[in-house]
Amino acid sequence: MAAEPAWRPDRRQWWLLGTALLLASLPHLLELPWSLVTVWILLAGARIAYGVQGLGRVPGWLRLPIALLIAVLVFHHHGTHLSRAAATTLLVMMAALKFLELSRRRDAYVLLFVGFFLVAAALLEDQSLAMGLYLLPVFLVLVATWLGLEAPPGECRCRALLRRALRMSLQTLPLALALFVLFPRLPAPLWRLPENGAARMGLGDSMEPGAISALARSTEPVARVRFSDGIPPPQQRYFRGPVLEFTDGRRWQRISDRRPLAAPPAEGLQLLGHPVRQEILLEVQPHTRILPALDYPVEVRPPARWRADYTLEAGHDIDRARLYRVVSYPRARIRHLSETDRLLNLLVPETLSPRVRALARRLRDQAAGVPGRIVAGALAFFRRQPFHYTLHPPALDGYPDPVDAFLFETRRGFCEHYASAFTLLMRAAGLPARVVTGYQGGEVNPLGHYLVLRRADAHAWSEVWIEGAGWVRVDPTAAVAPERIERPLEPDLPAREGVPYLAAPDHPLAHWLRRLRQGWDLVDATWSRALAGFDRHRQRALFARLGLHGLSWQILATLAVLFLVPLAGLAGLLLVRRWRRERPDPVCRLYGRFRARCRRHGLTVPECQGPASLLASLRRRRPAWLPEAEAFLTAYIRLRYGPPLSEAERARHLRTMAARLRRLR
Amino acid sequence: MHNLEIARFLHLSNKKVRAIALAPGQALTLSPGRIHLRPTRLGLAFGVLVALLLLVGLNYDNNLTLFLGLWLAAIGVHALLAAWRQLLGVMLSLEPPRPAFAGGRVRFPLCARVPGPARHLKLVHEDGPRYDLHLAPETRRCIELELPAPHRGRRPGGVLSVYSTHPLGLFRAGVRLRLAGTALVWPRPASSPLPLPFEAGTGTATGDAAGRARTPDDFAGHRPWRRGDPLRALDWKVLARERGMLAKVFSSGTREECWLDLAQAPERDPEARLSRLCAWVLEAERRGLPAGLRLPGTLIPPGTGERHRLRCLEALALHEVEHGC
Repeated sequence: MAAEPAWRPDRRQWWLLGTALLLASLPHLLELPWSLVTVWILLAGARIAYGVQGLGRVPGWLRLPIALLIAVLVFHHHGTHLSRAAATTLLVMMAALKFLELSRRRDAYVLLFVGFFLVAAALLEDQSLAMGLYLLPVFLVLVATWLGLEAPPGECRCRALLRRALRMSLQTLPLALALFVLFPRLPAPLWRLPENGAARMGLGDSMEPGAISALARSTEPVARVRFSDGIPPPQQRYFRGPVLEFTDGRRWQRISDRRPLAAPPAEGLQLLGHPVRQEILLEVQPHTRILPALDYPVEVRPPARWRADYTLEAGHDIDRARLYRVVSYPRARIRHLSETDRLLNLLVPETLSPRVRALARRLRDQAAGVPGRIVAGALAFFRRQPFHYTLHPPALDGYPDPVDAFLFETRRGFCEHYASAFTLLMRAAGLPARVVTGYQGGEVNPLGHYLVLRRADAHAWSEVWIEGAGWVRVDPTAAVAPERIERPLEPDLPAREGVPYLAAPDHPLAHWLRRLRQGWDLVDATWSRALAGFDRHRQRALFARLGLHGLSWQILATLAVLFLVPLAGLAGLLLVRRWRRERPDPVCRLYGRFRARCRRHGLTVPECQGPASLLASLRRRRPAWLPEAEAFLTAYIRLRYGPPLSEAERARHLRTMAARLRRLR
Repeated sequence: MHNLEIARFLHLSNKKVRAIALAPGQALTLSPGRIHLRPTRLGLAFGVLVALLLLVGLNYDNNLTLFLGLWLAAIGVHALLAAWRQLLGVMLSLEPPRPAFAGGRVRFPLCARVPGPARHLKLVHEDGPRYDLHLAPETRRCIELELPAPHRGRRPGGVLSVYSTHPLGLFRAGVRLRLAGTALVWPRPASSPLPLPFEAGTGTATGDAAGRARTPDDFAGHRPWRRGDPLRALDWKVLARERGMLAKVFSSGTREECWLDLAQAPERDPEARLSRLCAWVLEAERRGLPAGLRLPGTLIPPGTGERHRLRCLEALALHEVEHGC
């Protein structure tokens, strides 16, 4: 077979492809370091400078150094181990390089497919509604580009292509949706690439002074919580996150290999008060598996693990939004404390200063050893002394014992300072205590009647073991700044540094803006909920509702594959029927068969020859056929060209034709 | 079972597809069973892309990526059916092929009638030529397939692939047609001019070319000088070059019938001789000289006109050359 003719992108194809790639690269470009962005812009600029058709292939001596430069920059930025972000960055840069040397049809298709992959990579990072709304037109432009690459030359009008792309996408949408519902989901991921350089912060496995206050400025939502029986009051809204039990005096750490809870969670609790049902939509949380839930979770769907400290844990990192339902008892208490845990939660670092130890002793003595009164005494200490709650506490790096410095010198701190100091005081006074981090408060979205937890709502508090009562939650921050607990934070009162004027809560525009933001948040949350909610369990529930119980994913996979083929077949059959309808009427069909028979017997019957002239030629060349052929052709002429006949007459003529045709051998 | 039948129905098999014969004067409507489908190389690459997207979407439990992959898969299915529909119902017919001289190109006029929407067809002949055929809705268009004809004789139509990859180039729906007619290939006319061989006919004009206008002194060639010829008919220039005494013949005055015989051709190679005869036949026709053709086994009496010329050329084209080759 001959080779494909040479190809050059025409102007429109070129622009379409360039636009599609730019749009698909844009979300990634915003995340790249300036050095790589500069290289990208230089590559794009070079392409434009060379003009649409000017440059064939970049010479090899130039291509290699550019590729090397890109590789070096990517490794410099992402480190040497392969992560998803590094792969995406490489893809963005190499696409720009490839576009510079776009000269073959294959290059154009490679770039087109890379464009689709870039869209997927952006979706892996962010599945929000905004991203979805942005990428949908990008997808359409990519499809239009594709149509443009295939369209015959001169038929490449951009608007028409976009319209065709839109039509094609809409036509295929139902099939895509059906496949989406049917497509089996994996029970566990096949592989994970290590994530590095993630810019997002969150509650982690450890806490240092300044760790949580760093989050306090971020209004990025962490979770949205719907309550089925009304939103509980702020004092009860403690969402349990990592529990930190080990400290060196400065840094608190979670004991990450703690065993899972052995007994059913409800059994370890003294259930007080009413259960609260919540549905939590958790956004992506890098580096952690912990699912925050209102204290104390008793049931969760889809299933998750309980640690012995009653934190909920997912099977793997939360690298996509998750939806889960929890039943909690906010006023319950954990009833058990093992001997190991008691010892662990009494550990005090050796660096703890004598001043702090003395304070603890004094508290214990004043309370005569009664645990409840020790706690009350410590809280009273915080209240009575001039402690301040601030987002900008003085640094404690220079002090050998930060707790000592905070309690006796600076006395300005954020929740982590209070929780840390209080917990150590309790331990020094002989009460097992630990730091619990999580989220507290949150903002109620009045439009959607749900609670938005933001990073700024991150909080740290204490739990103290009180013999007879169990683990009791104590929030020392509440003693100093009750308003922090009562309503969402309006932190740091002096000067409101950096807060834009319009964000001042009393401005009328601010109110309006807040409403607008809440409205968008509602839409975004609904989207996220629908998207994150449809997982393996939801799929199974849907099938169960359809009466298909217990479908394994293997069966689903088979179904999905089998679904595609018959669907294609079905569509094909519909088309066939349509085609059948376009078939000629019986008169023409019989005549066609007659002519075919003539041909089979060696006569040439040109397309243009009419029945009368055909008869004349038969008379000359096939006299033996004559009576049959003449009757046949006469009937045909009568039916085809004569005045309209009655149904019966028409049928009779048709029968004649068929009979005569049969007799022609 | 069901799927198997559909696969067979759609001709998804990869085996070499049997070509459908299409004779001149015959029409062929492309019905579902005749169209075979197979993915193009781009289609295979696209399959890999979709599989990768699905794998990534599943692995990261990312619904939108999964949906992107499935949407592309759905577009792929659409492209499959669309490519198939490009051919469906197209009516192809072959007109009698047009002959050519050896070394030129014979032409097979092929007409396509489109019942439904616009079509974008590609025609690729096994011998190289390729054509793009873009048809507006409800139209009929003919193109002439020009096939190289290197040798004299009958040139078979060969196999023509009619296919479409429209709209996305992922799948190729096509039929293979065996063009059943043959085109006549005349010998290539000898390129160096040689005067027509001369043989005196009956001497008088036969007058069969009534109504054909002729300029009165159209130089028609030479013949040997005979006694009694007018002196002004003598070609002095030839005489001066010492090539003998030749009389100039003018077509108005004398109507000569000449016979063209294979033996008269000076060449030694049989094919070259046929080429020579071919050139002479054309020359005689150009001048309106009634020339007969004498080949071993064939005798065409002198005549003029298009039909006569075609007859002579056909005889030359089909003349069996008896030499050991």
